[in-house]
Amino acid sequence: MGSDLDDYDGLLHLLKAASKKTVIEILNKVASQLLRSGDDDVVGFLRSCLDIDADESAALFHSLTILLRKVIYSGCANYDAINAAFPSEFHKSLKELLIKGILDNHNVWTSQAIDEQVSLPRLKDFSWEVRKNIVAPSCVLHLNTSDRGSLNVEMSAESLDTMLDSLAKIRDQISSVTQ
Amino acid sequence: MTGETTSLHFSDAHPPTQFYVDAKFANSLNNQQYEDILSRLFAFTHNPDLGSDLGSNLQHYCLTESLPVSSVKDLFKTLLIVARGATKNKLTGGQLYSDLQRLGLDAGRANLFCQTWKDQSEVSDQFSKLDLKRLVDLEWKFGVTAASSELHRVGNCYIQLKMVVTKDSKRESVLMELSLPQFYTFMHEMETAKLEMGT
Repeated sequence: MGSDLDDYDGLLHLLKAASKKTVIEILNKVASQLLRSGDDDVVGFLRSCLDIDADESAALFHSLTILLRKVIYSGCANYDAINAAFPSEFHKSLKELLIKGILDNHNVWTSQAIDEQVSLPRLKDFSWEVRKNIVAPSCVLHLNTSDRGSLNVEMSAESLDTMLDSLAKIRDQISSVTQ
Repeated sequence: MTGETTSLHFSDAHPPTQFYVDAKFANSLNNQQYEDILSRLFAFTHNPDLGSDLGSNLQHYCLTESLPVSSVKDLFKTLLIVARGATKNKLTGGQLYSDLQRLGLDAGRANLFCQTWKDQSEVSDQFSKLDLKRLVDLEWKFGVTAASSELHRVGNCYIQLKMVVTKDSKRESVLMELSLPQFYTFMHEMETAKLEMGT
């Protein structure tokens, strides 16, 4: 369904952009800010990029936020779905440009949203080595997680076997759920 | 005999008579049996968690080798005290060797004990530099994200692992989430590790 034209008024400032490329760049920058909650001064960027004042850039930012949140949340992945997000009287050529930009970047934004979603600390990377001790070999696992940083865990052969049994169970669970 | 009145390096206390009995018993074992006992001893010093199975393990070993259980257990206890004393007092290989000789252990037996003890100490040193924790338990959860505040429909899988690790009797939980590709890579790597361990 189309939205209140007022919400989208701010978008009209995009018409001051020097090129279509600039408009797309702005789209991406705002999307990044939304999805990653970064510290970038996006509103400041809009001001200098389009040579508009503080109120105008705030209005533009507001409109872009509404548009992007809607299309990302609803998973609008095709022309018709995105088109439906705009009010029917909206500036036609600007709308076409924005639709194109959203279509082109939609997958990237969805991945970013998934990456940033609420979760436990993530495993960033890991490595391992086997140490042949005097008595029995052991496996040393170097883990790097997003909250604790680096961690070293030692496993005996039995522990490793038990771990592999658990991992196999997980794998079976995954197979039974996904196609 | 000498050694009865002078104290040894691994302990200030006067060693009980039992120690000499145990040394004599150790001399009576064949090479393989002695090595088998040493390997269990140093596996235990490296990983005290093995302690819960140790009693039954030794018992079973004695049955298969037709060895007297109480003698083997006594020997084990003595060697453990010696090994721990040597580590605690930071003995050199030579000092430990001399102690074992004074207890009446054969040269070859004493030599093997010292060598193994020395190698194991080096391993422990390396390990303590690493701030190594031992894995004692693994719990897991597999889930699919249905929706999030950003996306109406998500449908991506995640695996959550909880590794329970211990160091110096302190237990802690390490939580982490893996994506599906990460999980498969992790599993593949662990399988490779197992092959390399050769068990």
